[in-house]
Amino acid sequence: MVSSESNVRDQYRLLKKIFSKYSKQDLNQMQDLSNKLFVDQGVTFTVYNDEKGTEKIFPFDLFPRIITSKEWQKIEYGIIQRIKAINFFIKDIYNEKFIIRDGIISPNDIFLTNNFVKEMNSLQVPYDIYTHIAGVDLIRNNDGKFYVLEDNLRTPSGVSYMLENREISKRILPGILNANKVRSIMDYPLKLYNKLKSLSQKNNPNIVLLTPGIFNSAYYEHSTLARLMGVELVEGQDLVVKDNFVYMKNAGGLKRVDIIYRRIDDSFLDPLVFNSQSILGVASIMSVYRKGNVVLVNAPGCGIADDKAIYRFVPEIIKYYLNEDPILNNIKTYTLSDPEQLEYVLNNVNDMVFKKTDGSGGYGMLIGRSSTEKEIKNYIKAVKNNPQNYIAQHTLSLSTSPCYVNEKFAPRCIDLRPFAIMGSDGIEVSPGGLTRVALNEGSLVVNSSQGGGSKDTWVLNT
Amino acid sequence: MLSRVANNLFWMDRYMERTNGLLNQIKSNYISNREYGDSKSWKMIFESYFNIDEEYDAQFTNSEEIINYLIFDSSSGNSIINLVSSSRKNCRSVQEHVSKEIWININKYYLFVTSKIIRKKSKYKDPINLIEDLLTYNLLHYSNSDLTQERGNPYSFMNLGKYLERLSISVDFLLYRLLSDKIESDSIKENIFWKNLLLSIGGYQTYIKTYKSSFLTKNLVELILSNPDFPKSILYCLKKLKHHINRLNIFNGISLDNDVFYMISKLESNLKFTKSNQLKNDQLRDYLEEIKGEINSLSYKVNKTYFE
Repeated sequence: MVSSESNVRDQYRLLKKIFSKYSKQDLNQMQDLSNKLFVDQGVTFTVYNDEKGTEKIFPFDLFPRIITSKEWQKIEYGIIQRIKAINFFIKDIYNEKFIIRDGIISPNDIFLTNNFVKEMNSLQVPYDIYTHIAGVDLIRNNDGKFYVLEDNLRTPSGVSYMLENREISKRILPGILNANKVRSIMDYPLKLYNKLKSLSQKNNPNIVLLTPGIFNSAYYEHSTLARLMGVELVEGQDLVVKDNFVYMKNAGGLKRVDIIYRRIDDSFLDPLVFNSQSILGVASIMSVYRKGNVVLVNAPGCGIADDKAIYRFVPEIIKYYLNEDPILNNIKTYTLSDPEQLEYVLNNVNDMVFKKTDGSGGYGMLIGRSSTEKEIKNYIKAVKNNPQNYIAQHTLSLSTSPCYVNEKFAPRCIDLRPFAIMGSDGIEVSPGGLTRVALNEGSLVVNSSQGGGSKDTWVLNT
Repeated sequence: MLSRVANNLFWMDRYMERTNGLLNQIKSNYISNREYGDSKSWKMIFESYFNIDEEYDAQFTNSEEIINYLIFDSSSGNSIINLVSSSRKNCRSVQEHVSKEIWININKYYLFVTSKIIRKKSKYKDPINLIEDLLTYNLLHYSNSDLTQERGNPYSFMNLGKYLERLSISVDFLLYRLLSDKIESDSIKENIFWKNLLLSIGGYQTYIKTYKSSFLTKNLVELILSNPDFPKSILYCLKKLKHHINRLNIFNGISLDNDVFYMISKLESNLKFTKSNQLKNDQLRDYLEEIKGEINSLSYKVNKTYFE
């Protein structure tokens, strides 16, 4: 919110004026109201590792984050460019594999990862679209530029919080959104529905959202999206494959399903092809998919492109497929299977963040400067045993935003996850996204499972 | 509509109806107890809701303890806390099929009844205050269902659950309360006792307007069995069930004269052509047991037809 000269950025002036009129009591009341709204509406996520299946709210910060129209334009173009290139990359990897033949990426970088799905080889997907829905994590470094932290291409979560945060802002800051000329995000479910619909040749395809069920941490999101799009929320047990089509088990009999927006991982999708223990998926669904009788969103195998080991190649992927320079920056990433890079990283542990290539949700990572000697020692041991499973990046100085914590405003690190959706008519990015906040003082970890919260994200019209 | 979703909607409302029935019974028993010391009146609740027919009162020293058990004991299947949790669990899994108002109310009900501070509030030292606050959520559920729920498949499955549960409650009420061994059919002298009993099923006003006389068992039986305008009567519930079954069959392309429809029509005719006021106590009991058996068969058939 504050520029390097300690001046309030222009876009925050009006908001600062409004907030300066609020007393501590007003702010506490606003916070209580926002918490109550979340709890009453059941806007919660389920905490894993908790036998009681405790539902918690994702803490909401009152003070919105503001992105100017000019900043947003760059983010939007950058994400569209990135997703377009990544989609070409996935199609290529599962078909001709030109990028390997041309020596841009080595076969080992692709085939040795856990995220390459061999069942997708030579499988034709409708309109050649793989990455229908993406949530790209961005951070702003102390140089003022946005960097891509990771491309979430499998089942990115958080869009329901983006929508709910806006609803809460409307309640606790009435009239202020209009005064600030904030772009609306409320048509996201309709746009998503239209993008999904565009994947079918039918006029009125039967679209369903496949959830692992009520105990999944993101169940609220699944249910909200299904409700807002007006589509059926199904579990694996509700679907059945018959005569090479997928059907849902209705009260009046079977009904054919055309498009499945699935929120379960590849490995659980089809017990006959992937994890045979899975009870979340549908037996034989991959066979129906292969015949083109059902559309799966996102396509299985997208994980190959958001694997942390592939991340470092994305700028080259953009150049290779689009012949363009990347609009958004990548963070310099060290490959630890390379002895020279490993040595450099080990000599600079305190400046580094280590991540597992197949890790997510803030788990399996180590931030050098905030870890104990023992933690570092154990982690390095694991890295040395399997260096190909890890990457390292310099610790960035994440931008901060004022947050109302413990009855006062204090700076906290933030990131941004805008959501991009792709249909046969192109890619759209919802203006804004989910701003996640590391609510613990000095923390860089914004994940909901690790003490993170969120705030509304305003993209200005002008 | 998915069979699983239909089943969850059915049970969401069934549990809400059971909660409403149980809370009203508890309230009426508590008032009766305070006025008459009628400690045996808890027997009906333990028998019909908890399947406990042995000596239950040894565990408790007073009505407040019994109420505490009936509302908050999470180890008892049909305690209020469990019924509301089950209704909420079903509702949570079908949120996209019910109006937002219905979900928020059931969620708030769950948060209220599971909140730890509820038992510490001084206003709840009087159990009536607590029961009335709990019942407000049930009343809101009725009005939300009526005013905010679209009239499609979900609405009819919810009503199927509601009226099937209400049928069971009304039959149990007649069997366990009105025809209990302790009460001779026409030894009714205590007006306040019967007033409370009628209030517990929301039938006091209808009774007074219809019979304008002192309380007679045969009138009460007639009211609960076959009054076509009394919302808790068996005939009223059957009419509603028939209406929603008809709609569901049309919505889901199921034959209109299927087994469920046939069973309801049969029960309805049986009621219409039986003169309950001419039955003696034992005959009435046998008749009610027969109806109860048919309601159980109906539940089974509903399950087979729509949820499997």
